[in-house]
Amino acid sequence: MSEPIKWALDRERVLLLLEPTRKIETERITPDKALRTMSMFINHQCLDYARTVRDRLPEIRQIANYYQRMLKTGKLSDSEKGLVETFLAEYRQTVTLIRPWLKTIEDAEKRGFTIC
Amino acid sequence: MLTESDIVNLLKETKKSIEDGIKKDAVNLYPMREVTSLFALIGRLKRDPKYIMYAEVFGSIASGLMRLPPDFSHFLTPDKESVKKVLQKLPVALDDFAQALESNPRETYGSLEKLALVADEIRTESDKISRRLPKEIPIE
Repeated sequence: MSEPIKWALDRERVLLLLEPTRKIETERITPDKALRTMSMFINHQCLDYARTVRDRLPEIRQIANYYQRMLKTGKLSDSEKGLVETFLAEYRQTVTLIRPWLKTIEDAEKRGFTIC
Repeated sequence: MLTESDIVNLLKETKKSIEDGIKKDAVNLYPMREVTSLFALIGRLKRDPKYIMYAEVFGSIASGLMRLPPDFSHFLTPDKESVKKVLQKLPVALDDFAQALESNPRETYGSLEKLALVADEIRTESDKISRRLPKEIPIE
């Protein structure tokens, strides 16, 4: 079997991406991971991703605030500016989209549902 | 009863939807997820492992697309172009796969391999771009 097919069929990798298992993450979220987390939630809104976003929202907000300040002070290079603007646009969308999920997450947690 | 030509039509619609998305600097994920679900379901109903394999390759494309911002219009031109360049490989690979399914089953494996390579490229590109975000975030 060829390498690309083996890669695609690596069940563990695919399942982790599509249905990530709930791990308790203790490390601070990095900006690239924060962007990925938000993209995944916006692309596919489901209980699991909504919970991940809710758990990480304070850290994501902190990054977004820092980026907003950086944008205002003009400390960013051109290439960083485009990425930071994408991050902030996704942050705003995430904050709007997560609101209706908060009650659903609470209900699901009471009833023991955890996956998409 | 679902036929191979129904699947081919769905693949063509998926291809069109991806192309429409690229024109608007957007990622259309849902058609890819639908194809993934369809193959998974056929594989389960027909008990045919080849469909499960198709589902997993399409699943890996969907998971690659999910990592990209659904709207990448804020990216600066070089990043936008590099994302588009990778995404544009998808309709071509989808076309090859649809053609193989329709008329040349021997080529199916080869075209599936191309799709898997595109999935890997999408993932690599999205990671490469997002890693360039400024990292020194002060702890408040």
